Amino acid sequence: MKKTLIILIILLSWQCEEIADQGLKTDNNILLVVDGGITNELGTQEIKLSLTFDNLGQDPPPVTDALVIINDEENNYLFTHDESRPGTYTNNALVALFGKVYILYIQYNGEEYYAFATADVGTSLPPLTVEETETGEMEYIHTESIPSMTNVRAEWEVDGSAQEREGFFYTLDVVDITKTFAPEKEPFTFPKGATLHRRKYSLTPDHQNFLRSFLSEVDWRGGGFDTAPGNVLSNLSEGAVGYFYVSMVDTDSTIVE
Amino acid sequence: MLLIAPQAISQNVLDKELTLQLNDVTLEEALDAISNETDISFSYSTRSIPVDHKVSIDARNQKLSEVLDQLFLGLQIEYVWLENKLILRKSKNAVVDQKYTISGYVLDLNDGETLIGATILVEELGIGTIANAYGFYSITLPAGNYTLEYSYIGYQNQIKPISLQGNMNIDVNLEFSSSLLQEVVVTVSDSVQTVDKVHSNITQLSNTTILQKPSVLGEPDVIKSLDILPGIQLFNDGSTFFNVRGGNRDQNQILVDEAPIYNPAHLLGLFSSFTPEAIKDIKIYKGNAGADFGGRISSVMDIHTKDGNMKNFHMNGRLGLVTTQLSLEGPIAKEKSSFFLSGRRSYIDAFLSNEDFDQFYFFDITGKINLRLNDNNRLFLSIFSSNDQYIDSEGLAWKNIAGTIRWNHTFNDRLFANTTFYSSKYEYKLISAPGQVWSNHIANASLKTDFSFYRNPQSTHKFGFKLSGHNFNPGNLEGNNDAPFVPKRNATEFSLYYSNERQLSPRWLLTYGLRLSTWTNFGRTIEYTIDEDYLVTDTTTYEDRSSYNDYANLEPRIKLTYIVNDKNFLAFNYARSAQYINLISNSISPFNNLEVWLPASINIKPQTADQISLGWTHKRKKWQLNLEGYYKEMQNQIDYANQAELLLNPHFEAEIRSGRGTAYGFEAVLSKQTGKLTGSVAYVLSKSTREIEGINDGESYAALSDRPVQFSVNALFQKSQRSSFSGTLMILSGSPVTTPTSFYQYAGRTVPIYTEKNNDRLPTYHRLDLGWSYRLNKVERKFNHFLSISFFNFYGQKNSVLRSFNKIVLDDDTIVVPTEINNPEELKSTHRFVYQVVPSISYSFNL
Repeated sequence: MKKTLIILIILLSWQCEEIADQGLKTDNNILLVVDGGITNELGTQEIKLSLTFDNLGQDPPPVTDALVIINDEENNYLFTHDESRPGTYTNNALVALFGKVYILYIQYNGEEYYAFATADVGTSLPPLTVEETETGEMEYIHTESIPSMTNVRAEWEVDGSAQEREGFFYTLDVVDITKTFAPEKEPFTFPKGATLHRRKYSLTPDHQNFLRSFLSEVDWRGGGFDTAPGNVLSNLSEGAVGYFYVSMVDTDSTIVE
Repeated sequence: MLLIAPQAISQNVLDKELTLQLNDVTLEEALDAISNETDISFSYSTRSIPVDHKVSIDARNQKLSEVLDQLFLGLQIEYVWLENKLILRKSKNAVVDQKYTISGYVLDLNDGETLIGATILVEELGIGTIANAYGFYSITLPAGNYTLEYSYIGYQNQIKPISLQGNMNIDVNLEFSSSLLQEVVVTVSDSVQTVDKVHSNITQLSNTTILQKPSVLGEPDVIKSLDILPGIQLFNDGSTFFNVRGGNRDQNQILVDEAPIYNPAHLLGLFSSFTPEAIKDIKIYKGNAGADFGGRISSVMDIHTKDGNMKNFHMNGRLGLVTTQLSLEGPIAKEKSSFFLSGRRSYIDAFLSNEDFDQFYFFDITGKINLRLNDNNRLFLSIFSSNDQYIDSEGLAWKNIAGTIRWNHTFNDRLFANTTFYSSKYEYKLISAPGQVWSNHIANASLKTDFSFYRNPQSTHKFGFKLSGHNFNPGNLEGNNDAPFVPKRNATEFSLYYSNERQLSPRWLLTYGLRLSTWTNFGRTIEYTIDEDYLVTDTTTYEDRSSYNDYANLEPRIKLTYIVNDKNFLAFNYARSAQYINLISNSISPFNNLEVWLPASINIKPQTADQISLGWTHKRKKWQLNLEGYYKEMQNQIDYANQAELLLNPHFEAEIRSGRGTAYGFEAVLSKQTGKLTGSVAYVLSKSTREIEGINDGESYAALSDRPVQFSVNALFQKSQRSSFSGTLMILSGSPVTTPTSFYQYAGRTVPIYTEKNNDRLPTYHRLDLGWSYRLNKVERKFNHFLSISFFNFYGQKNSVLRSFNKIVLDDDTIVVPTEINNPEELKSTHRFVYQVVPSISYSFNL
C-alpha cells in the first residue's frame, strides 16, 4: 500500500520528461569556436577550432586553415594544424607558467580573434573514490571540494581491443538552485581492472564564471528549476565563442581493482 | 424626497379611489395608467420630472392622493390642480428634510459571518448601498416610510419595511440557500445600481466555486482556481505563479486579512497554501482597485478569512490523497465572540522512510478570534502560517507567517473606521550541503487606518493612511557572523489616500481617488554605484537608521460608470499605481525557486503602471456578459543580463536591466450564476511585451507572461441535492521560451546559442478536468459528509513546462545528461511536463 501510494503520487503528480518533437527556429549565423587551453604540463598543448552548426546531433565543422599563435609576453608559439585530427592545432614547445599573461591570437577567414588568460595556483587531487555498481562495474565518484575542473579517462581492454571513456567533472564555488537540483547525469562507469587517469585543472575566477554559464546550459538545464537561457560567456573577441584558459594541472593514474 | 399637498386642488379629485397594480414600470407609464383609470390628465415637463424612474404600485381602492404620495415618495414632486389637470412640477419650496441614517451589519443567519458586498436596496427610491469588507453598511435618507431589501448572492433576499423617524441600527441575518434553489430565490436586485454593481475590473470568487472545481489530487486550490478567470493566467502546471493582464508575477498583491503573503505555495507550487474552507471571500482586482489599495501594479487578491461561528460549534474536515484538513469554529461567548481555526498537513512523509528524507511535509494554519466588544467596536485577531520542509542532506524549506489585529469602530452611523496592525514574513532556505544553508527573507510591519464616511446614498468618502517598515535579506549564508556578504536592506513606506464614490445622476456614477505613496531607504546597508556599462565603480556604506534615498508617487484612480438601462452598463477605468518591492528571479520554472525580494533603492527604480480599460456589462435574469478592453503601460520593468548571477552576488544589481512594458487585450466572459447549471465561458485575446535596453538589442520581445489566447469553460451541474458534476476546459497559448538557433561543441559537450529572447513558444496548453461530488447522507443534517471524485487533466495531455536540449536517452529509456565526451549518444530535444491524468478521491464532512 505504501509503495503504491508513493508511486501514485510520484507518477501522477510529479514532473516527467520525454522526447519533444517540436522543431527549432535555427539560423545560419556561423561563428568561430575556440576550445582549449594550455597547462604547465610538458608535452603537446592543443587548441581546437570549429564552427557553429544548426542541428542538434550534427558534428561540428572543423576549422583547418587558421593561423593560431599564443604569446607569453616574450615569445610567440605557433600552433600547427594536426591533419590526422581536423580542427586540432598543437605545439610541443610551450609550457604554461603561473603569473604570466597569455594571449591567444587566431587569424581565420580574414578576421583576427584574441583572448587573454592567466593561471591560478594548482592544488592536489583528492584521494580517488570509486563505488561498485549493482552490475559489478565500477563508478567514479567526484569528491573534489576545491573549485577546479577534473578530466577523468578510463582505459581498459576487451578481447585485446582498447576501450576508453572520458568525461569532465567540475567543482564550482557557487550557490545555484539549478546546480543543486540538476538533472540526473549519466554515471561514469568502467570495468574492474581499468586504469583511471585523472587530470585536475586550476580555475581562475573568470574561468570559473565561464564554467558556471557553461554548466548552466549543458549540465544543470532541464532539472525542473531552470533559469532563463542565456549564451555561455566567452573571453574571445570578435564574437567568437568558447573559452581559452591557462591552468596548473595535477595528474594521477590508478588501476581500479 | 418631498411631498406637498397643494391647497388649490379639488379635494374630490384627490379622494377618487382607484385600484391599480403595476410592477417595475417607468413613472411615465404609471401616470398614463392612472390617467386611464381616473380620466384625470397629468401635465408635466420631462426635464423636471424623472419620467424614466422605475416605480411599482399595489393599490386596492386607495385614494388618488395616497397613490400619488406613494408614487412620488422621495422624488421631490409636487402636484397642483389647475384647469382640470394635475400639474406636476419639481418642488420649489422644498423644506430641508430631516435626514436619518440606517446602519448595521449584514450577517449570515446560521453562523453570524458578515456578508461582504451584500446589497441594501431602498425600493421606493431605487437607490442602495453595499456592505463593506466588514459587512457594515450605512445609508442616509430623509424621514419617511421605506422598504429595504437586503440581498446577497447565494442567500434568500430579506424585505424590511421601516418607518425612518430617527437614526436606526439594523443588523440583518440572511439565510443561505442551497444551490439547487438558487434559480428561484437567489437574485441580486437588478434595480440596484451602485458603483460596485458593475464588476468591471473586479472578480469575486466564492469558496464554493473553489471547493466544487476539480483539482489536482482532490486538493481544492484557491490560486489554481483563478485559471477560469479571464485575464488571469497561471504560469504553468505545477505553479502558483500567475500573471494578470500581461504583468509579471511579482506584481500581484495577495492579502490575507490585509496582511501580504509573498509565496502562497506548497510542494514547490503543486498546491497553494490557502485552505478554501477557511476563506469567506476573495476579490480580485485586475486593474483599478481603488485608492485604498496600493503597492502592486497588476492586481490585488483580497482574501478575507472566516470570522467564526457566533452561534454554534461547527467542525468540518477533508481527507485527501495528500493532506488532511480540519476546521473548528464556534462561539467563545454566544453572539459576542467567536473563534475559527483551520489546519492542514500533508502526510507524504508517513510513507517515506527516514533514510529518504529527514523532513518532507507541509502544513498551513489559519486562525481568527472575533470579538464584538459592543455595538460600535469589534476586534479581530488573525493568524496565517504556511510551512514547507523538504530536507535530507540537501533541500529546500520556506514559510510564510502573517498576523493581523483589526479594530472596527463606528464613530457614528455614517462614519466607520478600521485600524489594522499587521506583521508578515516570508523566508526561504536552500540547503546545498550539510551545514551550508543559504537563506533570504522579506519582513514587514504595518499600521493602517481606513475611514468610510457615508455622506448620503449618492456619496461615500473613503480616506486613510498606511505606515510600513520593511526589512529585506537578499540571501546570505547562515552562520556567518561577519557582515552579510550581500547587503540587507531596510525601508519605510507611507501612503495617504482619499476617494469618493459619487452618483452624479441616476445614470452616471463616478469614483475618483488619489493615493500618495512615499518610500524611504535607510541603513545600515551598503549601496553600490553602477555605471552605464553595468560595472560597479563605488561603494557607499550607510549607517544605522540613516535615510539615504526617497521616492514619491501620486496615483490617481478613476472609475466612471454609465447606466444605459437596467440591463446594460458601461464602465471606464483609469488607474496609476506604483510598486516599491521587486521579486528578483530569472527563473522560468513553474516551481518555487529561491524567491528573493528586494526594495526599490538607488539602483532599482519603483515600478509604475498606467492602465485604462473600457467595459460593457449586459445583465439578464439568468446570465451576464462582460466585455472589456484594456491597455497598460509599465515603467521600470525588470529583466536580467545574459547568464545573470543573482545569488550570493553582492553586485547582483549590476545584473538587473530595466525598461518599459506594454500590455493590451480584450476579455469576454459569459457567466450564469443561477439554476442547476452554473458556470462561465471566457475568451481573451492579449499581448504583452517588454522593451529593455541591453536585452534583445533593445528590441521589443514577448514577455514571459505573454499568452495571446485564453479560452476556458467552467461548469457545475447540480443534478440533485445530493449529486453534482463539474468540469473545466482550458486552452491557453504556450508560454514564450528562448530556444537555440545554433550550437557549438566545447569540452566534448554541445552548447546552445541563442539569438533572440523568447523567440519561440511552448505548445498550446490545453486540459479538461472533470469531477463528481456526492452527498453520502440523504438530507441535510447536522452531520453531512461527501465523497468527491475528480480527474484532473482527464485526457492526459502532456503540457510542456520546460524544454531542454542537453540530454541523451540511455538503453533503459532513462533521460540523462551525458558524461562521456568522446563518443556520446546523440542529444535529444526533451520537454518536461507535470501531469498526466490525475484521478483522485477525497472525503469531507461537516457537523
